[in-house]
Amino acid sequence: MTRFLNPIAIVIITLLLITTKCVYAQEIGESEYLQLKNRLKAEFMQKLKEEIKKELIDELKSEYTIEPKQKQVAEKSQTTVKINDPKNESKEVSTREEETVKYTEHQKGAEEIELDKARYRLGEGFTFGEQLLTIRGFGNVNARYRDNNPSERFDSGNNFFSLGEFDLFMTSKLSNRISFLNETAFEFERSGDVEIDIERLLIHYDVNNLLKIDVGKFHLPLGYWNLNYHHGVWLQTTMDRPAIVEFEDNGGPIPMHDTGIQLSGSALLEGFDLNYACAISNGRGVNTTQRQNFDDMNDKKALSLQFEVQPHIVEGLRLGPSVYYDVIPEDETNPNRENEIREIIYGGHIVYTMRNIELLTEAFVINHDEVSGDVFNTFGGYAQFAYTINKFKPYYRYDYIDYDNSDTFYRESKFDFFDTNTHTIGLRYELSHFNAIKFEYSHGVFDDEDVNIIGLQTAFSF
Amino acid sequence: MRLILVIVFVPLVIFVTNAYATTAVIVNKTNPVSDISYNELKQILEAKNQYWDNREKITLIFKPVASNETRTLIDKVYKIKYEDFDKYWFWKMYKNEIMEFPKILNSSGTINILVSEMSGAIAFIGVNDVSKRGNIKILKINGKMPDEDGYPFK
Repeated sequence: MTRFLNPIAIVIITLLLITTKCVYAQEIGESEYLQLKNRLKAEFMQKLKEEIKKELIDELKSEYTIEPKQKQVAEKSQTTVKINDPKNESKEVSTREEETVKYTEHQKGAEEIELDKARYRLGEGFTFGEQLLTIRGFGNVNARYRDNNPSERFDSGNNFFSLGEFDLFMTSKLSNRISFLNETAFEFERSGDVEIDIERLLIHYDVNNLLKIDVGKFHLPLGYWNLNYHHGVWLQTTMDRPAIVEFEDNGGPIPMHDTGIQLSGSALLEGFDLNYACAISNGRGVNTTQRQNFDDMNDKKALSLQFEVQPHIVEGLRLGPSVYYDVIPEDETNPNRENEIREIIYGGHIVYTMRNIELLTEAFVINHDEVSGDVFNTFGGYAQFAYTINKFKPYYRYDYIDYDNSDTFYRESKFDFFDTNTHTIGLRYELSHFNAIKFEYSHGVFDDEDVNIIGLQTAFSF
Repeated sequence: MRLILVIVFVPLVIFVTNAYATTAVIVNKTNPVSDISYNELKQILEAKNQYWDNREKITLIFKPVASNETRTLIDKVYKIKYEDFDKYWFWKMYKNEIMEFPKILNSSGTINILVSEMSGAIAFIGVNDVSKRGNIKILKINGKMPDEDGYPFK
């Protein structure tokens, strides 16, 4: 019996085992299948979400910030859309929600990224964080040959290489209507020293188109060149500034920088735009180079006022007058400058820049009226024409200054103020988008001395 | 045969639609302006006018300089070389005339979203790329919509 039972039992057990295994296998297979399916689905969705998020962040990275008020307005407007469009309401809502979720995710992602690292964009310079600080710089290196040196004060040789200014420009947007601007120049002195000069340092309040307020140190609204070309030589067509608007510390006769408050704005009228700028500042110190950034020696403030018209009928044309008034303090250390001088500068410019043409003309009259009753007048100006042909820009400039030689303010300065009559021809070549090579020849008469100068400059922005 | 037709006609269609796409001027729907004169638009584009009438700050949004939309604007409004476009804006910043650079975005979709979200934004994209569901509207220029004769950015 046992002999028969054993094989039967074995068969039964085997069948049971097989059956059980099949059922078990079938059950495990289904659940595994479902688990696998769910896991793959979750992984796939996660991956897809990450991909979309990454793509959005890449696209929008560091591009914008939205004020909470604007968000509220946007939300309100979304509600309006829903009400106005009842047919597609559910579809519209879900789409808007998706976009909002994506946008919020992007915002978080962008913030994380932008707080971590700086961004460099060609043409804009370095930006740290989201519109927090932009840094850009300028530099230039010159080589010159001249056949005569009219100055008896400086024996600088007749052929030389020279480093131009190394100029750092920084801006920061503090809010939608407030920004900060700084321009710091590192100037290489004849003595070998490097002077760090804060050329512009101001906080800007943007009220509306009609009123913008700058407080700090700025370029005075006096003429076209001074407001449009600052220390970055790369931006200007020629190697040097015109003699009449040369910077104070390079022997310029007109004050170019000052510390105070400036109001400016534009009225966009029918037929023409009217720009204005008005500054109240400390004014000059006792000589042409002294800038009163910290205090005002005689408490008498300088006033600058400039108007400019841009008629719509001739696109690219700008013209307008400017005036500057100041009382220059007496110099107690100099017996020849023991009186205050009332200074009034009248200026005017006519400028036409359109497509390939650049035509700049400016003229100034500098009136110095001493308390003693002596009155001195200096006349100066320039006319510059340039025409762009692809990467080349040939140019010509005529500079003229006629000083009153008995004007004690200029006569007692550390610079030579020569009567100037100079013709300059040159060629600017854009070697790359941010590097220009300028070659120029000029023939000048400084007082009665003829001087021929050949110059080569590489000017760049980074 | 079908392959040849695809090879020939698809690039042709893409070329034609891109090359001759009209540039639409889009703003947020909450913006009270619906019709703008060409001169007013030019003042906005040149950043002479930086505020809407409701005192909202204007945010300019462009596609990259290589795009047809921006090149149309450069040709017709700025009248400068394409490669000088970034220099133009940098110079404005250097002169302290603007506080930030205009936003340059590659994707029309992103521009649509951005204009939908920013009440002061104004953007310039191909008329076919304007989203129909976003919180945006197309501005008329001198009373003309992009599909009408006399529209300046065709």
